[in-house]
Amino acid sequence: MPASFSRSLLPIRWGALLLIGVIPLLAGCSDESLLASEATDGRFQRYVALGNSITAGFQADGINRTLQEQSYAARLAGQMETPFSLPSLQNPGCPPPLTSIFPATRAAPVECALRSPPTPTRINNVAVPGAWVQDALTNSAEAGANPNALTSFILGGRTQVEAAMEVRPTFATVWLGNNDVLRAALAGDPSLSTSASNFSSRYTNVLDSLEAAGAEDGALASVANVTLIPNLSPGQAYAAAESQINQLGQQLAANDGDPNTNWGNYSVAASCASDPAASQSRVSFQYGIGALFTLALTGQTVELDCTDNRTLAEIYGQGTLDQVGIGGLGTLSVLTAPETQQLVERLQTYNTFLQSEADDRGWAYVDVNAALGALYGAGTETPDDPSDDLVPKFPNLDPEQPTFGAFFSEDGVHPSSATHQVVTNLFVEAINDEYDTSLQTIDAPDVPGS
Amino acid sequence: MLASRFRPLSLLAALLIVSGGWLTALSNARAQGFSVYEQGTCTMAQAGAAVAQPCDDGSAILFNPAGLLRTDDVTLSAGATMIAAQGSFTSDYTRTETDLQNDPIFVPHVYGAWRVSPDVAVGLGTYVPYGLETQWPTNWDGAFEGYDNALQSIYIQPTISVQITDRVRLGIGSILGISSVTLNQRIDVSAQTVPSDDVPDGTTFGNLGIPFHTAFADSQLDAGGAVGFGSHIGLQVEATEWLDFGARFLSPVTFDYEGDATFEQVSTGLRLPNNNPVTGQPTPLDLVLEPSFVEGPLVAQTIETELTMPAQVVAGVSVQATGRLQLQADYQWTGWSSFDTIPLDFERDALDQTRREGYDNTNAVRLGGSYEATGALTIRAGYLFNQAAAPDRTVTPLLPEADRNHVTAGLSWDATDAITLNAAYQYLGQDDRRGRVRGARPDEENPSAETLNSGLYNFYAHLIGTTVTIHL
Repeated sequence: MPASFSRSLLPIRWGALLLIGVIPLLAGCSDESLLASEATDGRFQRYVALGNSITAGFQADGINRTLQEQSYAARLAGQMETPFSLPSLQNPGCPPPLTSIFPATRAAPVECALRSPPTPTRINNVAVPGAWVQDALTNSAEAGANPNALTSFILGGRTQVEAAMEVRPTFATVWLGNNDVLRAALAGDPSLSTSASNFSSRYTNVLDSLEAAGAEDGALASVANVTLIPNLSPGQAYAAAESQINQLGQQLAANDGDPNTNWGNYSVAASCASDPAASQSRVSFQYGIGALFTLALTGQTVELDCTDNRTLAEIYGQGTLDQVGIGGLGTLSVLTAPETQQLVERLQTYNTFLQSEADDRGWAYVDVNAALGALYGAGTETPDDPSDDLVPKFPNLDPEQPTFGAFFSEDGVHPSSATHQVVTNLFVEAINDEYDTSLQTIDAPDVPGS
Repeated sequence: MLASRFRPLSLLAALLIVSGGWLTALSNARAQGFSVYEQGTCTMAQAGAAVAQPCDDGSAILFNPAGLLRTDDVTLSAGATMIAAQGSFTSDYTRTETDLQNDPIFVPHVYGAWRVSPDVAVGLGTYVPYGLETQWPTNWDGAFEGYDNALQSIYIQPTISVQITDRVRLGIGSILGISSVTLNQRIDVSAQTVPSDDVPDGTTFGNLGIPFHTAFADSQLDAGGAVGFGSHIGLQVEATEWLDFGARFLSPVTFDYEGDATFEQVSTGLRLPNNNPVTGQPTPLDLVLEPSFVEGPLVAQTIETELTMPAQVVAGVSVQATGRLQLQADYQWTGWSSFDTIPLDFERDALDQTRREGYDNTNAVRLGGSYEATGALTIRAGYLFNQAAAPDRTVTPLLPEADRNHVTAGLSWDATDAITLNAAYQYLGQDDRRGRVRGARPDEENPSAETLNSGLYNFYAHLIGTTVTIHL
């Protein structure tokens, strides 16, 4: 190689050296570690909860930010160590929860305190109080949904499934279906429940949509045996409380001071004291206290017959009910023993389907009824001493005491915060079993026998 | 002989070390903003390092007005740089990646120079030192910050360069700037106040449950033809036969824009339920919002705003390392702190707002070299590092910038005695940087960057420049 040519290449070598030195810098810093950290277990990176009032955190016929944060879904997200954004409803609530159901008193005299600012950039708890399975798919009443004001306040016009899909969930919990039988139970009319075929097809649509959105893993909760909630008392509880009811009525009438308030008579038919109605019929608080007790306070004679499935309007006349301000209860009736059995069979059909779906999809299945049954059964071995019942069979009408015990809120339908803790652990255990994860349980009250 | 060959390189190394130390000391300062420095292919090929010894294609009008005396007789140059930018935003939470949708952008430049006498040269240049264009999909979160944005500032600069002494040259130019700006963005109904006396003052649709980032309007702010004035001064010192120094100062130019704001209603598809506090009955939300576009604040109207294109200070050195090899290094300071706020003054005062940008002054280092391979062919290469002007809180879809590294390469070919063709390629690699796709929400007081930033911006670009120069 000629020396002159070699010398002429020297600058090129320097230039090449310079380029080699900087080339590693060219791409800049491509650094995905700058993305916010994921949940401890990537499976829970984006968790979304679908459901109804229980999942939303509704208690004591009300909901607010405090209660939303106490729902099992929020607690479960905490155990997953995953972000979980709530559609926060400002305190005192929307509506504010009951401080007492008898007489009905709320935490504040407002209808709805609206959503808390600032508007969250996403929501992970898309559950809506009052939602049936169909409500997860549509907000149209014409299409069979049951939207209410909270549907809008929480979802803002979207459906639960639509809102959930916006999160691109990696994990979902679904606890729907309680209202598909609850309304029927509270109204005393099993025909109001969702048919098993509609239930399964709608639920399948919900799960298919979630899986299509990326939620390959999740947990399904069984439909709760709504006949075990303390708002629904067995006939025998009313039979046992007949004299207590009349004493209380007479006291209230005497202390009321209103000349129109005169205690009539409240009798409980013998049917309520004998099986199968004694143990299997169900009388809702709205029927037994809200309607019959109120009628008796106007001087009327009322009788609770646990085998009579006529509506209040049919028994007492809608005009009479309107006259005392309880016209809205006219469609209620006792859930008779055969009707209770019918509803229980229906929800068992639901749950057979749900367990099968969970198995087929490789999702966890959370059986809440074992714990609920254990709660309901605790204390029943001493039928003459209702004070040790964890779930009161007859509402405690002492204003100083919780009406429905420690495990249910003041409406007798929705679990209390303590029960949400129990439910959280049910989910944790089911998820750990299914996915071999190691979510930690939380401190929760003991449920004897569960 | 060997020692003399390496002396210039040692000096250059010393300069680099000094520059590096300065950058480290100024690590809180940031860099490039929406500056477009690729305004001449010869200079682009050496990473813009040219202030001490600009190319002889007339581009000295920008890169150092004093260097215009390097041209002979009449020199005319025209060219363009194609900028093909690509990028994306990856959401922290959903891990969804949204791609930038920019088409390639062509940035032109034209220069003319006339060597009036051995000691005087004059010229006229047209270039675009500041500009940006970002296009994103309309259906992502960032569209509420801006999805189709463009800004360009064209500078027309008559220039005179004078030989002050045997070794010192001075160049001065005056600048007529013409600028336009376009901003398209979605408007979020959840942040709007509910037009009802039945809710507390200040209640927003978000308080009624309307989801965050629900688009109900498309806004276009379009202002063009704004005129601004500035100046440009450069100095060149020939220290030795092989060592030159140069510096220049480009003044800030302020533009007062007057334009039009138009708003088009976008269907939300949402319905307010029964017993809602606005209408009391089931009502399409769009119906509630429609009056805003007919007789409310969202009618077509005029808008005024003001932007200041920042000053530039560049200083550099050129070393003739060998008979054929020239190396240059520039340090650049850009006064991006002038891009602090963008006041948007609408005809309807209710819409008035101030966008807080809070840019920081920036630093950049350019290293370049040229090697005369043959009498007709010169090879060039370079490397450039610049910091980002945008602070952590202002990394947005409008300009998701970060620190950048560039490498360049190119060549000049004297096709004839009168015609020179230049071609260059530049790769722009930008560091990934966390950024945001939203602003502060109602009742969210002065959120921090950590609160606002919700994902990662990725950005890079390929630039190709070509310039034809005619020497008459």
